Amino acid sequence: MAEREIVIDKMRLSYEGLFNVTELYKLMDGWFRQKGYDKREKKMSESVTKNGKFIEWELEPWKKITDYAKIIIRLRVIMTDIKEVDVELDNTKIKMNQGKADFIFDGILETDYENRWENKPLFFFLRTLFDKYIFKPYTAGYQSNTIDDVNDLHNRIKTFLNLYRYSDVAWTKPSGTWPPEGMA
Amino acid sequence: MSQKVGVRRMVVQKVGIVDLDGLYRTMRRWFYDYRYYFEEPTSRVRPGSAAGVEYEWIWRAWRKINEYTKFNVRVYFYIWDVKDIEVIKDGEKVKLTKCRLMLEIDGDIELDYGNFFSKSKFGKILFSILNTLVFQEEKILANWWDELYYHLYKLQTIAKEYLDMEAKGNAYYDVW
Repeated sequence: MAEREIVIDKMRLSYEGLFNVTELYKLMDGWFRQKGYDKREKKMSESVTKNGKFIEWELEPWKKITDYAKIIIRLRVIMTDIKEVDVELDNTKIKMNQGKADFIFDGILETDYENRWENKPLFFFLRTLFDKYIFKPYTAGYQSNTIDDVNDLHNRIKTFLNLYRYSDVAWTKPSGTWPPEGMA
Repeated sequence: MSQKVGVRRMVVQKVGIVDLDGLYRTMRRWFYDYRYYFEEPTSRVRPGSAAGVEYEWIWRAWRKINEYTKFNVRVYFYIWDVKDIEVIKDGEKVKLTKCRLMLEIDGDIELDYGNFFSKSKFGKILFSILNTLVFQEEKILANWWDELYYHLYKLQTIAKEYLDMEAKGNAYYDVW
């Protein structure tokens, strides 16, 4: 089995207010395309409840960096109480949505995704040695690529939701805790 | 024996009012447009519960790419609590369906579907050489995988748009 390293673990973003769900989806889909990710929509769910729509998306796009390593962004979006509202903007009525949205981001670095180095014990041994002593700078670079991509997506969504504009608080190192230091 | 390389399954769920007839027709039409041979091996109606009846449809479709490669597509519809209702839309009465729907789209690439290479040991060696050296797994086989994968996303996009889901659109529409 390929080795999966969770570089960013459950980075969260919550929002409540006005936004456009379809535009949000298009923004994320367009971002993945622009950054060279392959599309992966595991689950797209939508149901009508008493208080509005309940929407759940599970996305897991991936990008192959080399024949050996690939980046996977796992994004789970849960939207609750989504209602359609008319908003007047510059004397024109536009349709928007109001409700709550929660985003959970995971950044994963998968190495040896073709399982080429796991067929024989000797290969596995060599791979471990290479990973630890020779490829280390490369692997660190891939990790930082993963962090950069997740941060960029996180910022794009934040900007879209008008929470912050290009916030200077970014995820700079792998961490299992949220919020990161200095942000709490 | 032929070898199958699966693409990843995708799931679409919707609870609410949908135009089931229209969805059926539009998705069915997609197979015709993309030149897939289509069949519906399962079409079941169950009494369900007081909330409504249950439907289950399974579709299978395939398209031969060449004498060696074939695309297989499977679509599963599971629909619960189905109740027909009449809705006034743009001043006209329209028959729609209130239901809980789960749609699964799945597929695979079938290599050597005619079993040319599986008849002898030598044939099996040739099969392995063909895949690793001639088609070069990464280059040609991956292209076929990609083509089928993004075909299925086009079908999923049609379903999402027809179900009037919020996650409309597909930035990858021009891929394959």
